[in-house]
Amino acid sequence: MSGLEIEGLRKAFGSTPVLRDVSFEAAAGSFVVIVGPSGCGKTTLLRSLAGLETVDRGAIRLDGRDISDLTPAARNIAMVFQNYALYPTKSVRENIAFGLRQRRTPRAEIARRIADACEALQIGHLLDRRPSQLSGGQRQRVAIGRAMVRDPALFLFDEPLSNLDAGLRNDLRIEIKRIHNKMGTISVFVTHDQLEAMSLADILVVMRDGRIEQIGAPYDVFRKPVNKFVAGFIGTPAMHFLAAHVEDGHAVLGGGSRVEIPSLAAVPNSTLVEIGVRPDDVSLVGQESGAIAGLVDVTQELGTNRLVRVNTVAGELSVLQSAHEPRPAGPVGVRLSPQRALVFLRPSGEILG
Amino acid sequence: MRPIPTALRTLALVAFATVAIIPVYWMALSAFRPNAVVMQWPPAVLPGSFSLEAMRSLFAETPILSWLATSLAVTVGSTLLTVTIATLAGYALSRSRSRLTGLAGYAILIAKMLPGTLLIVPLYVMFFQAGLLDGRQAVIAVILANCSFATPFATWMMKAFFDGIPKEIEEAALIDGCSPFTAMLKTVLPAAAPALAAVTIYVFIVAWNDFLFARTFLPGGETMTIAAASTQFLGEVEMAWNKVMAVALIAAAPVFAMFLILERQFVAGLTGGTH
Repeated sequence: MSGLEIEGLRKAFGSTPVLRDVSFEAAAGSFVVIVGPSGCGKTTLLRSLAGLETVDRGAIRLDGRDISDLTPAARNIAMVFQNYALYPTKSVRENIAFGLRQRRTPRAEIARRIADACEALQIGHLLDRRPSQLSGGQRQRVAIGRAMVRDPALFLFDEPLSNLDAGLRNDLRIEIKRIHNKMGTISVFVTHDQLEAMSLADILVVMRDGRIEQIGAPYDVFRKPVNKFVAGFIGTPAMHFLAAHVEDGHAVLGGGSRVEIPSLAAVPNSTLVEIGVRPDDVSLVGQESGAIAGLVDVTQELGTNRLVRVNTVAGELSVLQSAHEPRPAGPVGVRLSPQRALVFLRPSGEILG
Repeated sequence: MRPIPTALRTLALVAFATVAIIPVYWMALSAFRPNAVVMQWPPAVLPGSFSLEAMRSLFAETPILSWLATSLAVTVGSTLLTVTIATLAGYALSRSRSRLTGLAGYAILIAKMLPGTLLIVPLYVMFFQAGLLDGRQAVIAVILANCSFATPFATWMMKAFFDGIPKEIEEAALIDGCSPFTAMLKTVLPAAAPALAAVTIYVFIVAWNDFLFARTFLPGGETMTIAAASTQFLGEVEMAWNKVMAVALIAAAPVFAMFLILERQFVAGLTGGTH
């Protein structure tokens, strides 16, 4: 099949397993983002794809060809590194041309591809400079250009934006996506920034402790996480969890408030659960009956919205409300949206339903 | 803290510079004087009594050109060999993740602590058994001895500099189509030019100035380095200090020239390596 297939990858550094049976597939043209906390194995996975790490077991197939045992040079891939990794003694032009020269590409073809890259990335005026004379954003553009001209079957990005400031990061994110769409190859992008992951991915891969926790379209992973870890990791502002137990199809929260949740209808009484609520799935109401009583702790203005942190009898909650509404203070009530609330089993963290 | 006044600082620097420059001044002065003037008491501190006597007798009566050639052969050989070994070994020490390489690194560091005098007997025995001490090929023995002496420090200098070059640069080159060796040759080595210059100067000086190994392994006569030959004018009957100084002046000239050319790289190589 054309595309990327990864099957049963295992890798250990000494006695510490880093990848434990990692498998996924990506069709041609997809943008795969691997996200997870530091130490989850995402960078090792990417480096294994590049051939910079050898794997202990498993297979990597690119367009039907098994590349697991090939050298990095023979894999037809290109990689963009977090620290840019430009060749310090070469000019920008030589940096971009280096890979093509190594492959004995004709001179005219090299010139044509450099011109294409310059146009796509607006780096034409930098061609005769050395990397040390460039800013961080310019360096990363050059590194992307160096990867682009190779016209690889697989693009690898190892946290390419994390050394840049927020504004630049946004611009380059858009540019990376645009270049990806234009080239039509597979991109695999590693990041620890879940917002970056959500905004770039066609296929989102969430990893923890060397395992894939969930694979799916960003919105599906966001709305239907498979467990508490994924639910807590994906989404900004983050999800809050309230400890509860089940009684007659209701979740009984700390402080005794009861919320009827449809998915709890068939769950045996006194099952221990946690209710996951996103800040946009709860609303502030008055101190009315049925609402969870709480006290406003901190409010943060986000521009369009406002994030209100409330200490309730059931636990801490964040509420996202429109900035047009009056700024809340003092005692309030919080109402959950039962349709949106997610239920996780305690202590396993698996989602219910 | 109060800043040290500029005048005081200048005074201190002048004092240090004077201490450093007096031997060089005295060497240059003595080389161009009759020996009687050199030996007189009280010494003639100011320039005067210029004479080419020592120089003339050096070129007329001694094989000084052959000494220079021997020195050149020893120095170039030692430098090429040592820089090659130190670059490859330093690179391996810097990049390997194996614990054995780490141990090897410390073994090399400990070897650096051994004085040359301690090496001389085992080296002599080995070179003798290898048949290296007969005639002109003793030059090879001196090259090997200089190399064994200079390699540890040179290796660590290279390692320290390589440590400051991110390994992603080679990885990018691997992906761009290089083999591990060409990746190092084409991307890391050019970046390590300052360190290469520093190590080259270091080995050059060690080998050019070597006295111990040349004096011990070389047969003498024409086959002698200029640094080791200088002392032969200090005999029981005559102390020809003006000739010694003339030889020293000729011997110092190449090192001096090398410093002038490579000074900037040398300083960058010594102070670089940690980013």
